[in-house]
Amino acid sequence: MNSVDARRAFEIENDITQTTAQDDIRYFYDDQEQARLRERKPWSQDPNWFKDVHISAVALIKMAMHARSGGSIEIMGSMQGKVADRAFIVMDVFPLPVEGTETRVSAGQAASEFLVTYSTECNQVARRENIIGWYHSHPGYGCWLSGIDVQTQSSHQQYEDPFLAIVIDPVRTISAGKVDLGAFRTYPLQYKPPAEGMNEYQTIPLNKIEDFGVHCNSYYPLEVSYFKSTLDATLLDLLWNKYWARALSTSPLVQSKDYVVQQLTDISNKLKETEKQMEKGNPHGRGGYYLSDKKTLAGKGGGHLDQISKDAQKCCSEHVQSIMSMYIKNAMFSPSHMQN
Amino acid sequence: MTGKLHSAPQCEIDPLRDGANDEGAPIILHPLVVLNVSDHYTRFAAIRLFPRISSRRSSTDVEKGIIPFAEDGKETRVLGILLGTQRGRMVEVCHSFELPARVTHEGRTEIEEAFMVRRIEQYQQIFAKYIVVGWYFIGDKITPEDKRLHAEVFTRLNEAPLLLVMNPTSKLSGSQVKLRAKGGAGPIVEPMKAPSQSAGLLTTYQMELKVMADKPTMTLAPVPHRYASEDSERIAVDHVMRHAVPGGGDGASSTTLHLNNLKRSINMLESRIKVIVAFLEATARGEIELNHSLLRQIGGVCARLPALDCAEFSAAFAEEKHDSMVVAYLSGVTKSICSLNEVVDMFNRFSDRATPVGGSRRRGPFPRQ
Ligand SMILES: [Zn+2]
Repeated sequence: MNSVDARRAFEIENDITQTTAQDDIRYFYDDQEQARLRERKPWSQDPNWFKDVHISAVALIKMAMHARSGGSIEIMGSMQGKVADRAFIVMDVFPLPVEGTETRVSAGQAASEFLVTYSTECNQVARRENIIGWYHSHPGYGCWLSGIDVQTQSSHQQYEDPFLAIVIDPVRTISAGKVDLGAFRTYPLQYKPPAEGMNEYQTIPLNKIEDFGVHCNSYYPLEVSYFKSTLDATLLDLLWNKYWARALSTSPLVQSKDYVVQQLTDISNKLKETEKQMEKGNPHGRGGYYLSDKKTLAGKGGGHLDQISKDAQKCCSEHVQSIMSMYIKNAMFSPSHMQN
Repeated sequence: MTGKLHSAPQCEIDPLRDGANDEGAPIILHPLVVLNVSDHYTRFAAIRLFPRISSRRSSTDVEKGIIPFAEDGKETRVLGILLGTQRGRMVEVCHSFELPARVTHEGRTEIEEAFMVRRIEQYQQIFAKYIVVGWYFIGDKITPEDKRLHAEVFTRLNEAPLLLVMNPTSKLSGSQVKLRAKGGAGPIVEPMKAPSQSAGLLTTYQMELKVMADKPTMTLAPVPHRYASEDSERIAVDHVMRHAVPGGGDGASSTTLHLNNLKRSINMLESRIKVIVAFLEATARGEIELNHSLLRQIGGVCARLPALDCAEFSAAFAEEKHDSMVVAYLSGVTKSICSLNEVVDMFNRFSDRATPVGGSRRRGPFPRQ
C-alpha cells in the first residue's frame, strides 16, 4: 500500500466512520485536553470523583487471557488509557513479568524496568496514552482489594493519580461463563465513606473474609462498561459466524469441577462457622434462636446466613444453567436418551 | 453456480467445515489478534479523523506535528508483528503488536528495527512459548514493496513468515454474510459463496514457489485460515460482542443470558442444517452436479449422530444431573433456613418490644404466655 492508496483508504473509511464517529472518537488521544485535566486535577478535591470505567474490547480480552494463563497464580499488568470527566478509559493493557504466589503478587525490579521501557517506547507507535492503572487476578476468590492491594493502590493514588485498580477472577469467569471483573479506587486514609455497604455483594471464601472485612470500607467500586470500534463490531460479527458452535460444545460445569467442589466446601464451612456462633449464643443470652448480631457479621461481608444463602443460590444457578444446556444438547444430538 | 461449489476446497471459510476440529486450514487465528489489528487501525484512523470533525483543532495543528505520524511529512503505515506458535505446517497466531513504520518519498517502507527487536524480546519475556510467526498490515492489496518487506525483513525472523492483510474498506461486512447465511432456504450457493467474498476483509498469505515462464518465482499465495479461541478468550469476546455498547450494562440475569446465547447458537446450527438440506434436495433433484467430497462429508457428519449412545454415558449423565439437583436442593434448604431464621428474628424482636420494662424478660420465638 503506497501513500496514495493509504490516503484513499482513509478517505473511504472516513465516510463510514463519520456516521458512527462518536463510537470511535474514544480512540483518539487528545494530549492537550489530557494535559489540562491533569493540571486541574478535579479528582484531588473529591474522593468519589471517578464513577465509571470504560474498557476497550482488546483490553478486556487481553486481561481475561492473561489472568487465565496464570492458573491459580496471581498475575499482574499495567493499563494504558486516559481520563474523561468522571471516567477512566482503558485503551490497552500489557502484562508485567512478575513473580506471583497464590496470595499476592509483587512487582520487582525487573517489572518496573519492563514497565518503563515498554511504556516509553509506545510513543513510537503513536500510543501516547499514559499508564492509568494496574490490574491483577484473584483466581477463584472474587474481585475485591486485599489489605496489600489497598496499600499498593493508595500509594499509586498518592503519587501517580489518576490511577485505577482492576481485579479479575479467571476461575469465576470460566465457571459463570461471564467475565468477572471489578474496578476500584481507594479512599484517602482519614476519609470516612458516606454509606456503608457500597460494595456490591459477592461470594468470598471463608479464609479471605477477614482480609476483605477489614479493608472493604477503604475503597469503592466503579461502574464498568465496555466499548468497541465500528471495525471491531464488523469483525466480531464475522467471528461469531465462525465459532457459534463453541456455546454448544463446551460445558462450564465440567471444565471447572474443582471450583464447584471448592464452592460447596466453602458454603459448608461458612454454615459450620455460623452454627458455632449460634451455639455460643451472644452477650444478651439469646441462645438458640438468634444468630449473632447482624451488624458484626454482615460487616465482615459474607458470614451471615442470608449471605450464605446467596452464595448457595449463585452456585445453584450456575449448576442449573449448565444442566439445562446439557439437556438441550442431549435432546439435540442423542435423542434416544430422552426416551428412557 | 456449480462451479463455485466445486471450488469449495479453495473457499477460505467453508461454513460446512466450521465445527470440524483438526482438518482444514493450517492457519489458526485467535480473535485477540483480529481485534488487536483492528484496534491498531482504528486508533490510526481516529488520528486522521478527529481533527477534521472537531472544531477545537485546526488542520495546521496536524502540520505542526501534534500528530507524530506527520512530523516529517512521511506517511505512516499500519503494520506489525504476529506472534504465536508453530508446529510443522500448523501456525497458531495468538498475539500481535504494532511496529513504527514510515513510507519514504520514494515509496519505500522503513521499519524501526531496534524497536522491533526489543519488543520481540519483551514479549518473549512474558509469553515464553511465543515466536514470531509473521506480520500484518492494513491495506487493500499486496504491492511489490510488501513483497520486498516480506522477503527482506520478515524472513529473517521466521523462515516461512505468514502475512495477514486486513482490508477495512472491504464492502462485504460480516453482518451481510450472516444475513445471507440465514436465508438458507434460498439459492444454496449464496451462503457458500459469501464467505469467500468476505475474505477481502481478512486474508492470510504465505510464500509459494511457482514456476512462471520457466522461472521459479516466489509469490504470496492466499492460504485458508480458521479461528480458535481458548475458553477465557471466548468468554471475553462473547462479552464484548453483547455488552460493548456505550452505557450498556448487563441488566439481564445470567440465566437469561446463558439461554439466549444457547438459542443463538442453535439458530445458527439450524440455518446451517437448512443449507445442507437444500443442497441435498437440489442434488437429489439433479439440479446440481454430484459433489462427492461434500456428500461424503455430510454422510460423515450424519453418521456421528446420535453423538453418544451408550450405557456409560447415560450413567454419567444421570450422575451429573443428580449432582446438580442435590446442589439445587441444598441451595433451597439453605434459603429456607435463612427465611425461617428471619421470621424467628422478627418474632423475637416483636416479643422484646412487647415486654414491659422490668417484667420477666423471657426471650423466645413466641410471645409470652
Ligand atoms: Zn489482590
